[in-house]
This record gives sequence, structure tokens and C-alpha cells, in this order.
Amino acid sequence: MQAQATVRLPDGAHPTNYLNKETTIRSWLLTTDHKRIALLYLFTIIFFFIIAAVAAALMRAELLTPKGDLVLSETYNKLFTIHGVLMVWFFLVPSIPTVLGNFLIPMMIGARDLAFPKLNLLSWYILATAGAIVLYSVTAGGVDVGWTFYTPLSTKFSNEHVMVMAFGIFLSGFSSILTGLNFIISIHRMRAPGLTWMRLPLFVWSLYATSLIMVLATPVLATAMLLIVVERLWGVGIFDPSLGGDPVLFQHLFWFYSHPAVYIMILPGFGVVSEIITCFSRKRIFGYRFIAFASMAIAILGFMVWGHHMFVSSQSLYTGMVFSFLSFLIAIPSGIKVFNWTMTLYKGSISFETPMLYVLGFIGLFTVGGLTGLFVAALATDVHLTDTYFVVAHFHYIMVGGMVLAFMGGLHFWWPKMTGRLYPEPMGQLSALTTFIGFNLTFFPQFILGYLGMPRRYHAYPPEFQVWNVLSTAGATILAAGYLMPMIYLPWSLWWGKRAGNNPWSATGLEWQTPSPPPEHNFDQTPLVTEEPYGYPLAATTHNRHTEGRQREMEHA
Amino acid sequence: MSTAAHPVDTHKPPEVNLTKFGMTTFLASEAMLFAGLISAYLILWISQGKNYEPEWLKADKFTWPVLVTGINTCFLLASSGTLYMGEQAVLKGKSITAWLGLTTILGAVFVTVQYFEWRHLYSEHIWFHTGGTYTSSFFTLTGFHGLHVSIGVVFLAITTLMAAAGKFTPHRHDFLTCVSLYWHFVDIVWIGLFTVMYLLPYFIH
Amino acid sequence: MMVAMELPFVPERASSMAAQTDYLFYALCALTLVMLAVVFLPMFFFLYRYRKGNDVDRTPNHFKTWKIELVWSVIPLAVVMGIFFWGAGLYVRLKTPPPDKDTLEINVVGKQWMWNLQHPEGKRELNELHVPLGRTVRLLMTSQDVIHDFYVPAFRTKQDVVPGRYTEQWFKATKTGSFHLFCSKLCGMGHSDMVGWVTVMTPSDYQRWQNEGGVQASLAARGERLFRSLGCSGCHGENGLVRAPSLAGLYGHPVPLDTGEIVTADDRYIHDSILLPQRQIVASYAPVMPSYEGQISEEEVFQLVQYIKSLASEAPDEYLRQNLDVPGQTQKRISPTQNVPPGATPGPTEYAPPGSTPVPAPTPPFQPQPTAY
Repeated sequence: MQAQATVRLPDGAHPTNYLNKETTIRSWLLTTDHKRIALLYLFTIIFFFIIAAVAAALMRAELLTPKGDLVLSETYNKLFTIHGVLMVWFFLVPSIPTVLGNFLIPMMIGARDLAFPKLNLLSWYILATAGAIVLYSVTAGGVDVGWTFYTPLSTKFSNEHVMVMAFGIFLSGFSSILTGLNFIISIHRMRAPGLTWMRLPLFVWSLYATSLIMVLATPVLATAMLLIVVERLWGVGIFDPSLGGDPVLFQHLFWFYSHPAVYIMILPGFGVVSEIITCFSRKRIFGYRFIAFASMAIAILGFMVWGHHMFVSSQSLYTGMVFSFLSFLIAIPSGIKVFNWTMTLYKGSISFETPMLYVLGFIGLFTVGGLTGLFVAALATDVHLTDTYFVVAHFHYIMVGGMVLAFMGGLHFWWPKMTGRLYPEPMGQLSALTTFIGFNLTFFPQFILGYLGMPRRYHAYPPEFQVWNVLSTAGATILAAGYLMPMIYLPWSLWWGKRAGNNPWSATGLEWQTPSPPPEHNFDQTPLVTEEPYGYPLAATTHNRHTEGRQREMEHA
Repeated sequence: MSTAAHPVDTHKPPEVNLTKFGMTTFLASEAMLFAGLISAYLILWISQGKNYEPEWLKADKFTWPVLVTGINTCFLLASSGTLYMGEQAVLKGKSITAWLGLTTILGAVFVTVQYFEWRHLYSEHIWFHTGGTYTSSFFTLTGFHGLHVSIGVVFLAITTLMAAAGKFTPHRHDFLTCVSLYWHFVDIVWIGLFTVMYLLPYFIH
Repeated sequence: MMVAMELPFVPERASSMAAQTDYLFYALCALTLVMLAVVFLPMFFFLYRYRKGNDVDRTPNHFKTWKIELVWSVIPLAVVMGIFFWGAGLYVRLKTPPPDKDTLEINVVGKQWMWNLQHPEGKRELNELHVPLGRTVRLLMTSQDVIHDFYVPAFRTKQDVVPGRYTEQWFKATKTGSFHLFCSKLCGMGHSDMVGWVTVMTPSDYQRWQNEGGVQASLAARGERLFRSLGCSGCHGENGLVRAPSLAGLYGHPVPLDTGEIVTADDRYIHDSILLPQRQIVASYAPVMPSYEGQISEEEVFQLVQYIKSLASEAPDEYLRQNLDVPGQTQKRISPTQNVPPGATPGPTEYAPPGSTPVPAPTPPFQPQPTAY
């Protein structure tokens, strides 16, 4: 309540917090405060997101007509390469971990900062430099090999900017590794007294699993990218068959990272959902341990399924079967999570604020994305569906429907904590709804296009596919509106939004016990944790005769 | 979750060495980097079979690959030993400059010998792209490892200077711990590399 | 419903495997709908009933959590395992061509950005493939440059076309007409131009089409012409100056290598022997063959392979005759300088593992000489 009392005071009288303690540009660029670094990341990834989204918009515009008439085919290839590279490595992979994770992990575990604050700042500089290098390669001439960099297309049959871009991605990997390392060590060693593993918020669990993948899988991507550079520089025969190399080896190395990377992108989303769904149904999470261990199971199994990207790549019959089998297994922990979230709603007291709407959208779209994953995990249907729009739709349901919605939900949920201001609630609800509708209209037609046989990465296509493409492009405009709204009202709220107070959602969790925005040192006193997370006092927050009556009876008895 | 106003640091877990833990995690990541490279090499070997006969094995059957590099490997192993002695000495509060200096010299010898091996191969017209896939992998892998060793030698030299300046005490020597973890790691990787890149091809052919 | 009738949701079915794949697809669609119902009907019910402010009983139940978790782990596991076996079984059939006698084998070369198709009788096509109805067609495919992918949605088959190796796929067309052929692996600037048509014709139409434009030289005949013009016959022919393995009857037979391995002379072996001759050296021969990498195209390699194949069927005895060379004969040829010391004649024990002789020796006095190929 103290924070609200300060509303009427002039700026200088605010209690100092991490935002207004120092305001020079220098203090931002040299900060080691995890909260400030989180904001640096936020601006950086939104910048990359906008570029990648513009590339996507141009592609959808091109696909309105069957003929390739808006951009050249080479330009089109460059567009989807930029879109893929920026979205994957410079938006999705860093999004929740580096923004929400950086901001929240120290607060959720009751620490002053991460274990290595300087390393944290270094990670941001590495990511920003890597992004600059990638953008340089785009402006210098562009790369048209797709975000997968398949050899020998990327080594012998493309321009030398591939090397620059590969180096940029190689570098961005170190940012991932260092961030993951920082999180793992902080979660292991910096927890507040009483905060045992089984009392950790599920967001922390999911980021712990994510960090493990970041630390262990990213170096293999670095290997693959490095070998591309080596092969191009010295003409050595690693992937080039005419020099005795093996082009499929690259795919193994690439997917050994890039499949676990899918879980780098989605696991943090699971964490956000668990936090938000408990808060807005005022209930303890159902099956805490199962959700936590499902995250770990996904992280481990995720390392063993890379070959399912290569069922038609001439790998052997039995290899295909093993990878298909393991891929089906990974459906189980994902299913467990969805079921547990649904059960969490049971006997809750559910309200529909913006973060909750985003999260409900997440559960719906992630479930569709996961179930369509079965279509491409089943060997025979994958032969027909791989490299078609079905795959595009499937992974966008996971990446956009899952990760982006979770990120937006999380951003809205913790926005009051980060800025001290509330976003305008009706606008937020409208944006969640618009995004959901626009997303489905954009990507559902692509499932149909895929089964009809339209291959990915086609700049021009047979006319019979047009109707679905027009629908998809129409949906993309709605989706764009859904994205644009928060980009306008969130900054607006910084100046004109209502003061948030310390805990606008009456949420549990250590981060809500600090002022909004938090002071630089987070906690005045190290908190002591005495019970499990999500202890929402259901009876106190709802006007419920039954519950209160029963509880009284129980107390008497 | 409820918290209570509590004086700072009563129930904290025992103070642990964050730096050491961080270094170990980083090395796990490094290990995956080498695992990726080595498995790529092994996959190529299996799929290529014959093409993998190392050119330098044909040209120079024993001297360089097995004898010289074998002796060189001993230097690297010895350097791990001397570094370990140094770590033990620092715990007892003894001077460790000599041990660290010796380790640095052994490491430098290893890098130098490897440099001469590369020069020798170059003079035999064996270079990154002149042989088959084996040769490419050979230079990529040993080069990558050599880079790690070189970085290690630089850090060992810095550690030696710090030791000479008396910076390490039995209770405060995080930097030394990190450098030695790194050095032992590089050593272990070399044992793996020497086995798969030198000994296996030598005994198979 | 009218809209649904006009808008197709499933591509045409034109191969024997198409319907099978569709059934699995329908089953998966049904499973998806069931699972969505299982998740979302309760969810919507909860969202409505337990909305904030609704006056309902919220007494906490004390579930045995692990029992419920077990139910929703085991049942889905059983279901997805069923789908796995269904999909895997079908995949085996998709990958294994039926052993039909009249299988039509077509050689496919993908290059930026066109499909090059060669019929065994000699017809060559660009971006269009004509095949007869009801006959198994086996495609043997390779790429000249980057990875491509041969995809015919109406057949529900797809296979990457990888440089440096031969991949294959098969189909049996069940419907006449023209169907889309796509390259579905990103292959550079002209990726979306690398499209064409597969035309399925009745057998009689197909025969008529084959005979259009007069009699064509068969692939093997073209290969023979190449064999002479490229100078292969200079070494591999009857009176070669340089000692090189004879190729008569080679195809499909085991070949001992100088490493002691024994490989079968299949398409890939012959391909690699032409383009990467240093990769596998036939035992007791000097590695003197120059590489033809960059000098001939993959189509021409296919023609040479066809020619060498035809030698095997024309002269099956030639292989045996060559293998019965007496040891003295080989010494007249140029001796290999590096692998075998001059004058030394490798005995079979040195190169062939004990107990595995490449060909059965018909007559006792002569030992098989496993060095000729």
C-alpha cells in the first residue's frame, strides 16, 4: 500500500528502485543488475522480433498469388532465412529465459542477483553483437539457405555471407550457454533459506531444465556452424561428398542441437503457464511433482529424438523406427502437463484477466501443436508430410501458439512488477483474443495445405493451393494487429498506466513481496520460505458460503 | 509461500564455491563441443572406411604419429601431475610457484611439439584440404584442442605470476582452482583424441 | 458442406500406398479430435462452473494424485504405441519395393533446378515422368549438386535425393492422369521452379509413347559409347596398356579391396569408383585411376553403370574366366608400386578373410585369384 501512497508525490520523492536509481545511459549499459539486463534483453529481442515479423509479412504477401510476382525467388529465400534465423536464435530461444528468467529467477529464489552478474551482462553483449553480425550479413547481400543451413547448399552453392551468418549464430550460442550456466548455478546455490527443491516455483523448475539443454546442446550447434566455416574457408571435405564428406552428417549435428532447442523454446512457456494458471484460479497446482519431473523428462528425452527430422534423408529403416518410437514417448510428459493444468482449474475461482486469456490460448494451441506432432512422428504419414506446410503449421502452433503466447502472458503478468504500472486491462484482453483468432486463421489453413502437398519454402505454387494461402494471409493481418496492440499500450502504460502496487494479482511467490518496481537489491531482508508454492487461500478470495461453511465445520471438528 | 522477517543468513546453505561450480558447468558444455566433433569424426570414419587411412600414416609410419606424439602426450599428462602437486601444496600453505612454473613449461612444450608436427606434415604436403576426410578431421580436431591448450598455457603463466606475487592462500585460490579444472579437462580430452585419432588408426592399419 | 465439397482436403490418390497413408491420417485426425474433447470439454466446464463469483461447492477433494497421473500417462502411452506400430509397419512397406519381375527402373538425377529422368529403354525426360499404370516403378536417384527431394503428393511418397549417394523410392500408380512432382528440399534460388508432372498412362499408351520419335539408343548403349569416348576402354578393355580390373561380369559380384574388405559391386560402388577412385582400391591394383569428378555428369554415370550392368548379364562367364587367371599372368602387367612390393604376388590368404572366397572355384587345380576387380 505504501507504493500507492507515493502516487501523488513528485518524482524525486519515489522510493528508489532499480529503474530510477541511476538513469544515465552509461548506468544501463554497464549495469550488472539482473532486472536491468532483463530489460536490455527485452528491447533487443523485440527489435529482432519486429524485423523477423516484417519478413514474415512480406512472405505472406508474396504467397497471396500463386505466381511469384511480389519479390524475386532469391529475395523470398532470403526473407525466410532472416525470419527463421532471427525468430529462432534471437527471439524464441532468448525470449522467456533472458527476459522473464533474468528478471524473476533471483527474485523467485529470494536472492539479490544471479550467481555471476558480470557474466550475465556479458551474455547480453554477446547476443547483441551476434545479432549485429547476422544483420550485417543480411544487409551485405543476404543468405538464402534457410535457417537449417543444409549442406552442401550452404557450403558450396551459396554466397560467402553464409559464413558471416553462421559465425553470428555460433557466437549467439555462447550467450545461451552462459545464460544457462548462470541460471543452473543460481538455482543450485542461491536459494533462500527454506526454499527446498520441492518448494521451487514451477517457472524455476522449467528454466532449470531449459538451462541444462542450453549448456549441453548449444556446443554441438557451435560445432556444426564452425565446421561450415572451416569447410568454406579451406575447402576441406567434411560435408562435401565430392571431397569424400557426408552431407547428411551436418543434419545429424544440426538437429542434435536444434531439436533440443525446440524444448529450450517451449519449456519456459510451461513454467509461465503454471505460474499464471494457479494465480487466476486461486488454487494450488495439481500434481506439482509430476509437472516438475515432466520438464526434466522432456529435457532428457529431447536429446534422443533428433533423427525424426530425417526420416526421408536416407537414414536407415531401423534408425527411423528408433527415432519415431522415442518421439512418441515424448508425447507423454507433454500430455501430463496439459492434463494437470486442466485439473488445476477444477474447483478453482477463475477470473479472466489478460495473462489468463493468453495462457488458456497457450493450452489450446499447444495441445493442437502437440497432437499434430504425432502425425509427423508416425513414420508413414511423415513421409508424406515432412517438408510441407503441415510441418510449418505444426511447429508454429508450438512456437507461436505456445511460446509467443506464453511470453505475452508472462509479460502482462509481470509487467506491473517490472514497471510499477498496470497495462489497460480491456486492451490486453482484446489483444489476447485478436492474437488467438488471427493465429488460428493464419496457421490452420496451412495444415490443410500441407496434407494437400504444398512444399515448404515455395515462392510460387500451383493455383489450386491459392484459396488456403489467401485465408492464411488474411489471418496474418489479424495476427499482426494482435501483436501491434501490446506494442502500443504497454509503452503507453509506462507513463499513463495506473500504479500497480506491490501485488496487483494477490499472487503468491517471493517476487510479489517486493515493491513494484523492486529496489536494486530486491529484498531488504533475506526471505525465509516455510511452505510449498501456490498456497492460494481459496476461501479468503472468494465469497463462497459452502467453502467457508465447510472450513468452519472442519475447524470445529 | 510465506516469508518471515528474518535476520539475514541464518539458514543459508553452507557457503560454497560458486566459481568452481560455474567452471565445472562450463566444462560440461565444452565436453559436448568435443563430443560433437569426435562423434562427427567417428561417423565419417565408419561411413567412409578405407578413405580414412591417414595420409601421414602412409608417409611416415611410426616416428611422428606414434613416437613423437606419444612422448608429447606424456608431457601433457605430467603437467596435470605437477599441477595437482601445486594444488595440494597451496592447501598446505606452501609455495607453489615452482610447481606452476613447471606445469606451464610442460604445457608450452606440448604446444611447441604439436606446432612442429603440423609443420612436418605441412612440409609433407599434408594440410587441411589436401588429404581425405581423415586429414580434414585431424587438423580440425587437433587444431581445436591445440587452441584450448594454448589458452590454458596463457592462463597457467598468469597463475604462475600470481603465485609468485603471493596471491594464493590456503583459503582463497579460486582462480587457481578454475585454471586447474580447465587444464585437467584439456588433458582428459587429449587422451580421448590421442586414442581415436592416433592409436586407433595406427593399430587398425 | 458445399464449401467442403469444392475445397479438397485430401490430395488425389494415385498409388497403391496412398489410401493406406490416408487411413493412418484419418485415424490420427480422429485421435486428435478425441484428445481435444478429453482436454477441452472438462476445461470449458471448469472455466464456466468455477468462474470467479459463481456460487458453487469448492471443497477441496483429496485425490490420490499419483493414481490419476498414472491413468493419463498409461492410456495415452498405449494409444501412441499403437500409432507407432501402425506408422512403422506402413513405413517398411513404403520403403521396400515389392519383388515384381516387371519392375520399371528409372534413373533420376536432381540438379539445380530440374529433374533429369532416364528410362532404361533410352527415353530421357526433363521435369516430366511418364509411367505405366499398375506396374511397379523403382526410382534410383542421385543429385548433381545439393540435396533435393522427389515428392509426388498423389503417391504419398517422398525421398531425399542426396549428392554422393544413391537413394531409392518406389510406387505403383493406380490412376491415370497427371500429378504434381515437387522438389521439397530447399535447393537454392529456383527451388519452387523445380517442379514437374508425373503422367500415368495405360500400358498401351505408355508403349506408344515409348516408341514415339523412333528407336532410341538404350541407356546401356549410351554408356558403352561413353566408355569408349572417355577412354575407359584404354585401361579396362581387352588390350589395356595399364593394368586395370576388367569390368565384364563385375556387377553384383563381391570385390576384394586392398584393405582386406570385400564389398559388393553395386550401383554405389561403381559410381564411387568412377568419381572417387581412390576411396576403394581393388586388391593388388595400383591406385592409378584418375577421378572423373567434375568431368562427367551424374546422368552419364548412370549410363556407365547401366553399361557395366549389361556386361554382367551378357557375359556371366567372363567373371569366372577372369578369376581363374593363373598367378603368372598378372606379372606381365604393370606392378603396383606402393601397396605391393614388385614381384610379389598376393596370395588369396593375404587379402581374403579365411573361409570367404569371392567365387566358388569350379576346378581344384586353380586357386581363385581375388584380385581382378
